[in-house]
Amino acid sequence: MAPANLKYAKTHEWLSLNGDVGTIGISDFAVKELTDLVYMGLPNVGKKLNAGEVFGEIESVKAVSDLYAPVSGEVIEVNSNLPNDLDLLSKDAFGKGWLIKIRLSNPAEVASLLDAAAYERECAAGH
Amino acid sequence: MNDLVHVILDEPQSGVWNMAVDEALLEESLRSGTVFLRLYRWSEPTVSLGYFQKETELRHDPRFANLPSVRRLSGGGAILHHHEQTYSCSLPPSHRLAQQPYQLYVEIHAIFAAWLTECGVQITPRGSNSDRKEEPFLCFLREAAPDLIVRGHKILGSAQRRRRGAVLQHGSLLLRASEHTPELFGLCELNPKFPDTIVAADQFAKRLASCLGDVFVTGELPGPVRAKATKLANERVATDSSIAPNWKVPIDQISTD
Repeated sequence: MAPANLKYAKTHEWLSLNGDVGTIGISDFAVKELTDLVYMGLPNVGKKLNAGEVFGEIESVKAVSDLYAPVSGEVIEVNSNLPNDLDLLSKDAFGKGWLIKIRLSNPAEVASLLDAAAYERECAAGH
Repeated sequence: MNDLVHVILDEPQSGVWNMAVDEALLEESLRSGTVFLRLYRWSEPTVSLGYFQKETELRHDPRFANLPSVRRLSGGGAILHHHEQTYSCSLPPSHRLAQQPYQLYVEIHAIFAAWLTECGVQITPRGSNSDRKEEPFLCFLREAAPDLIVRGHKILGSAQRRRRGAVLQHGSLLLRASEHTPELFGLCELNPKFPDTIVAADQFAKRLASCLGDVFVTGELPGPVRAKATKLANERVATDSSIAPNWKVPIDQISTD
């Protein structure tokens, strides 16, 4: 179930906002759809991202999928535990499985993201 | 299903070109909504690395030291492309199989299995994924549920790239063993009567296309795809990056566990 305090992109990334710092992850729905995660690539600290831009990749069952920035900003922290322990994503996608933190450059973009109810409708529709 | 499938029967080409074309087809499916199916081969023995594989593993194996190499967009293990039939298909986000990408493995492999059975080859789907902690370097020594098996040997494996809802899937059917990987048997070793020359025939393309759409046309690589592939291939040759890792995390931070 998607936590109500987060915002979501249709591409299954979530955003938690604390001032101008956003924590970004992927939803447990996406993790379950991907199954058997084996590799992940994430950006370096300092990388500037535009909303919708690819910021990483994840491999599961020989399929590599792109990860998209839900909002624009500069990467200020990367979850360094993740590449070596992808179980964190399976066990706690909305918590310890967070991917990156960014300092938002255009906070107004948050308004275009989905709330939990709208995101769950998207998932239910198979998107 | 009312999808028109554009079928491309390509001549053998270099690894850099083959991978550039597959990426360009994925981009074109995303841009224009076109469904593509491509059958192709390789102009020289070439090693392709899975997207996240380490180049050092390739360089440590003397068998592959002098062979050209290229990195795939897709995941999985390394493949020595030599005596094989390769296919790729790219689907736009609206396609039913782009919305259930695992089913794409299942349906494409089922068509290969049916056709090989008609050719007198006894096929067994593997049916389960490996639970090994350490995967072998070579794809054809790895185990995944959709693999097709003949007398205990994997002869068809596929992998995917998913981008903004579009899906590229490509796969290799081993026709004969290569002198570079003699431990990997192809259909000719496993079934000496197997007619490898008919793999790329129009009829087989039609069968594969039938699971992607209900109408198909055979033609050349579309101009925009050729232009995009040329740009991608030239960039990789110019920057010597055909094998360079694209991922964002430094190599030593990527676990193989």
